[in-house]
Amino acid sequence: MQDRLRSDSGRLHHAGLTTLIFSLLGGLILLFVVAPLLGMVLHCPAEDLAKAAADPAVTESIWLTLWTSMAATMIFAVSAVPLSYLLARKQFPLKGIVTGIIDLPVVIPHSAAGIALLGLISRGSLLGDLSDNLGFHFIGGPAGIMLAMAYVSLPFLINAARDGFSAVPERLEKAALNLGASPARVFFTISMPLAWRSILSGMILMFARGMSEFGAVVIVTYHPMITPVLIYERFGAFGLRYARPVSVIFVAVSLAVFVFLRFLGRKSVNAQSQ
Amino acid sequence: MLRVRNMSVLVDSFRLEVDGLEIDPGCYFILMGPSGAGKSLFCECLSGFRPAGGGVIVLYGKNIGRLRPEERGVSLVHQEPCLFRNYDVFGNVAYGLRCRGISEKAIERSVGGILEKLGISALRGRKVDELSGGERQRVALARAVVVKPSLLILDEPLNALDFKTRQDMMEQLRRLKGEFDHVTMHVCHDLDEALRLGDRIGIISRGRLLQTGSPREISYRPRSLMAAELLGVSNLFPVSKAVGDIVVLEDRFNLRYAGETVKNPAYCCIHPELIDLGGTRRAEAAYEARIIGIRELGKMLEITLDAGIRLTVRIFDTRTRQFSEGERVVFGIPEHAVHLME
Repeated sequence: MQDRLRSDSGRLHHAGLTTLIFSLLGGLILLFVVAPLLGMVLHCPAEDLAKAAADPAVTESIWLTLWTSMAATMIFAVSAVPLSYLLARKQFPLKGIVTGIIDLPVVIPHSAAGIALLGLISRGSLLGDLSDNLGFHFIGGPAGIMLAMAYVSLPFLINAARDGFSAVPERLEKAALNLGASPARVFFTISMPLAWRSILSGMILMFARGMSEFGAVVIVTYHPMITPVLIYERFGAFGLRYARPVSVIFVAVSLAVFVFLRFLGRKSVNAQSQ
Repeated sequence: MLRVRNMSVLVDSFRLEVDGLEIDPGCYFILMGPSGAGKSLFCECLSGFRPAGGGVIVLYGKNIGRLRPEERGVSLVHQEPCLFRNYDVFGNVAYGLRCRGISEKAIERSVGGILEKLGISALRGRKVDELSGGERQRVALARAVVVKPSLLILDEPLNALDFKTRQDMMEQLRRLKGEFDHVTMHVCHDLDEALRLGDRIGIISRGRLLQTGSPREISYRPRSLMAAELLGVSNLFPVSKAVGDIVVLEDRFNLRYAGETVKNPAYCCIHPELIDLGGTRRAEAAYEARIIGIRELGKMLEITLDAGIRLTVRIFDTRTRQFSEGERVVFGIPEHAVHLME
């Protein structure tokens, strides 16, 4: 009996030790994420921050970053969400390849993605000529920024929405069809609302990822500058001291927007489930 | 009326074949069969989620075999109630009516009526996550019935319910069946459920409809050994020989049989509750046996006899006559207790 108790307490001791080691390792990772940001904030004098916050170039670039990323998310969600539904529900030839293509922007270097996009939208290309005829330009304009942001961040939305649709039991959709609903009605009244939490989460991720994009955007549209490009430009031209305040402000704004959107998302999901 | 002809559906290596099934308007039809018999596949074909394999499905004169699920007028209630979490109880029940573009006033009336009928009016504003299993199943039933389907399919709707809720739900289904003129197909594998609810019963096994008939016909006159086994018929014996009015069971028991003629009887069942133990009824033939087992089944006694063959007898335990193991008894087998199968 005593041997058994000893062996049980040994096992518990072992489990406690494992948790301790895992916590220490996890703590190191957290430190790795937080320490550079904290260091950056602590090394930034308040007067530099105030000066950067009052700089129209900084505020304009932050505003441009926010709205282009938001617009890219909204516009591309219109076709990305139905695609996610198809991927979750239908079996079709080459589905594996389609899924792989969707994840492609995650694995290719974003500068390479920018070069590839440039070929698609530059003057003389089909899209470039079309946009010229319609009176706007992808290169050097917000449309180009949105395109570059969407290209690299779409997988986040598509994958999250696909997982959301997969989690909706198919028998609910069948029940709705049996009750006389058309497939489109079933999509809008059953599938979408029930997968809404995942879709929203995917949209927030896409928005956040688009907002922080640098590699693809800098190649497609250097001017007007989104904030990541402005930070790079200030660092290259004036050094760390001038890039740091802009970075601190942008990180703060990004965090605030991200937290706000998460909060909004949670509120709307709660309201829906009540 | 529902008519199914030449349905032949192949799924992997399983084939479902249904031909010549006819169910009258307003009939409560029970489809009984073991797991893997093809019941759910048949329901999927009827509701339009699988092609009917070249078969014809005629529902109240309309061939629905090629219509999409939403055009068929078939409502389905599953074992899992499949309620929409993004709607409350009222929204769930009103869903089908809203799909039909019915005015909110009429929807209010219809939904209110059906909730009342099923005794769940108090639940109308509740979230579906807050409901018990029985309440959820009632809401699913209300949602399916309120759209006045031509065919209502209940796919094992009582399986996940506890005994009391099951009994209540059965009572409600019994009450409902008189009020609608649609065809109801209730899938189950419980004989008690089938006998209590069904106007007609169909036995399905290994993808084939073996027999259809009234509950009485089905329970007393199973047409094949497979059907008899599915129905849990006791006293099932192979027929060794049949000469004149004598049928020999298991080479050692001569049974006098004066029922309808069966050409080549292969199996015989003797209904245990119709065996006349102790001679209280007039029997066509009298036999002797020794009691080798007594089991109490609530109000019933199940007595096992050794009469050359092992026979099970079921009688009401009236306490007026005591039986004991090893006792020798006389029993009779009335004509209507014997059923021969080809």
